[in-house]
Amino acid sequence: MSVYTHKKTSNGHAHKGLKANKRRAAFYDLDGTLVDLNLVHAAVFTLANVGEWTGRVSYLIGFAARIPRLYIAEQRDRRLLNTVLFEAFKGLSRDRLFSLGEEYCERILVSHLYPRAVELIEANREAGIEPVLVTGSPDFIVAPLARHLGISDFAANRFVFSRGRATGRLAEPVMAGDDKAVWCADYAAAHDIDLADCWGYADSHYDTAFLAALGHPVAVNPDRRLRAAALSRQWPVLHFEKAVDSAPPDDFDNHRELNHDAEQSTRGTNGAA
Amino acid sequence: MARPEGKLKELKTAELRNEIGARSDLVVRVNRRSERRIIPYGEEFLFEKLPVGTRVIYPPPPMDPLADPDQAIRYALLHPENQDPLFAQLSPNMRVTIAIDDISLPLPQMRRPDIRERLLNQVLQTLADYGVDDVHLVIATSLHRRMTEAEIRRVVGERAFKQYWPDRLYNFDAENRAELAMLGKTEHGEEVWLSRRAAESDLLIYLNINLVPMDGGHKSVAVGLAPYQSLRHHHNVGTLRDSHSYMDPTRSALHRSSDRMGKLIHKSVRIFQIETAVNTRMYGGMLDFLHKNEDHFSDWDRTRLKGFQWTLRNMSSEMRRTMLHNYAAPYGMIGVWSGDTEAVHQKALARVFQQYAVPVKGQADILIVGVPYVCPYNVNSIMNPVLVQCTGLGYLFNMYRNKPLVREGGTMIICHPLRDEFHPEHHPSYIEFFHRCLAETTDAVELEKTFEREFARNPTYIHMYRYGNAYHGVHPFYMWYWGEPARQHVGRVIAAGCEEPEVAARLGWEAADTLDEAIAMATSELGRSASITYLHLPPLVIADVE
Repeated sequence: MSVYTHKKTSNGHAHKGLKANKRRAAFYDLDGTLVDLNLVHAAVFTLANVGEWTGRVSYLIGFAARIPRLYIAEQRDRRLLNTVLFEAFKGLSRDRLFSLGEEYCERILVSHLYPRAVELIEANREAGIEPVLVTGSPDFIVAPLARHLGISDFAANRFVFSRGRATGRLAEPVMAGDDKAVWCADYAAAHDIDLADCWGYADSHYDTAFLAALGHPVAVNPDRRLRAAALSRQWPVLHFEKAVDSAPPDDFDNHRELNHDAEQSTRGTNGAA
Repeated sequence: MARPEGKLKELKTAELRNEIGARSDLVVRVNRRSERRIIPYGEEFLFEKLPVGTRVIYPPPPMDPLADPDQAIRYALLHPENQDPLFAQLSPNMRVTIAIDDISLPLPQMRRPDIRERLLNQVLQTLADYGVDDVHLVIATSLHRRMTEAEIRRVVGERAFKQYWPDRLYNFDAENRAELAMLGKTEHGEEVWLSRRAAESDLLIYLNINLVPMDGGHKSVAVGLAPYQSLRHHHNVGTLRDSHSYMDPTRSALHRSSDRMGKLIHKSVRIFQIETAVNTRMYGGMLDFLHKNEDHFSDWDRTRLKGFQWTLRNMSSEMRRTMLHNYAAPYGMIGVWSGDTEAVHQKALARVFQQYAVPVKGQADILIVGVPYVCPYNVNSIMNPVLVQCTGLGYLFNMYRNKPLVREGGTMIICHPLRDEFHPEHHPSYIEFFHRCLAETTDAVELEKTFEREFARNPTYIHMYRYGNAYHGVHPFYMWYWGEPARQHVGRVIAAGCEEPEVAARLGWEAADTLDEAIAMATSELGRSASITYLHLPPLVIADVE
């Protein structure tokens, strides 16, 4: 399974009310839901920062050649989009990818987090609803962001590596569409959580199945088709607005430091721990 | 209440026109030759034959509006009740907060200029004349949804909007802990919380519109600028069950509680209350036939009604909703008073009753009401089933003084299509309340005990309330409690014209395809001699039931 578990942060927030003893989780999509960026932005950043300039040019040309396929894939299937997009990473070293992921998160991603989204994650956490990221973004980008947000568990796409280099293929399950819902169900079963008590936040119509699997789906900044689905299925609709100041918060390094130990101890754990 | 008939005879014709009980044509009996009656039916209007003998109660005709509202406001500010004139209370460098009734009043929204705009222009001018700069304008939303920028602009007018929006003109936020202050507890142990800005102001000015007698008074500040921590003391099942009715403040535990809170607030905050009353001119121009007794319809009235029905029936629901909510009522201001809250409210109440009250003899076995497209909580939004329940059982049932229009154990017939339809941005917690909580129980006490706190503290609902345009998570509970006195009183509720019987069942109601079927269902139990009363809307009417 595509899950990394940093550390089991003890659930010290007893949920008062109807389901006092039940564990609950909130599953968040990332791109477009918590941040105002998409997967393509992360891909372009990564490819534009690999190795020497000759390498960058060749990767970017390769990426540009894929744009028609990416467009068609986007229209048809999110899984296909992920597959086509990540083929462009073939040949990149694991170390380089993970260091670029850290850099992308620090320089770009954190400053593009919706401030209200971070507030909501914290409010949910205080109410005893543990956050979990479920995203199609690659793990080398999601891991540092999860650390920054203090989120222990996440599901992200993972590359298949051969001799330390990306093969351009994604490890199963590919985090897109229905597979997100399946992953949530497995995660809930492993953690003794009832999905009916869980919240889900996503922005794309490709996430309809993911949201439908949860008891409390919320459409966040929904695209046209998800908005229509939300209206017909009576899902609440939430809007996050972009941060006015795009400078990264000062405490990024502190967050990273605080969560560093946890990451070292459990990184790479497979399966819904 | 109405004056004795002997007293009425002593009055001159001009005085008599607006006297409660002076008009005998407001309560009519349906006979064989009677015309069909207009009945609000969600976003449409029915035109239905009522059984012979049915009593129809019509609202009093609109009182003449004040000839010069601006002059009347000026006079009120200069001649307040039990307080110095506004200008005499001002000094430079003082901190002033102006609280304003939100979009829930009046209904439908009124034509521009809104009364609040007129009031604001004069109050702000007075403040400016006396060098008061530290002025904030707060929309007193309490747990209602935030008004949008366009809605606020429409209500306060261009002048105030341009000068104060957005830094000094904003919606009250009942979940911003830093902006709330606890003022103490009443002798009944009720915690009194208030907007910190208002509590720390040298002068709090409240601008109110009284559409019905439930509005205004201490309730304006004690509810409009208060958070859940305060509201839970009176917006609860016990208090609302002890309110007979909401429209009669002297017999309403809800009002007694908010009065206690208001008095406590008065001890620490200087309040200058400005209350206004509007007449019953809800529809004008091409729609003025909606106010008429159908027996007096001309051919032109019938043609307009048919045309209106046809138009509404053939529009898409979105277009129909937009058209109806964009309609602005030509309400006229029939009074304005300022000064001490209680003294002002007494005068406003007297005028409101003068406009809305109709003496009615005796209760009925069956009460028919039509729920219209709008209630205080769905302006520019969808009337969902929980709000239909609130409007039917909460508001329309409570349109009485002394005794309910329907006898204890009687039947209420509520005309509405009752669709399983919710606005996902305005009413997110209503969706869960309807599909999860009501699926488990319709018992208000059980709902209050089991679910209320969970919804009130739900982070997503709080987030949507604070930063979106959602009603607070706890709001659907209040809507349900609002119908509690009616649920305790009536024996049976039938939804006439119900399109989705499962929705009616979820509310604990029975469903009937048509009004005729609903009446047949009611009379099958109560007998064919059962008395029927139809409360004619629009506009609004308050029955003084003997």
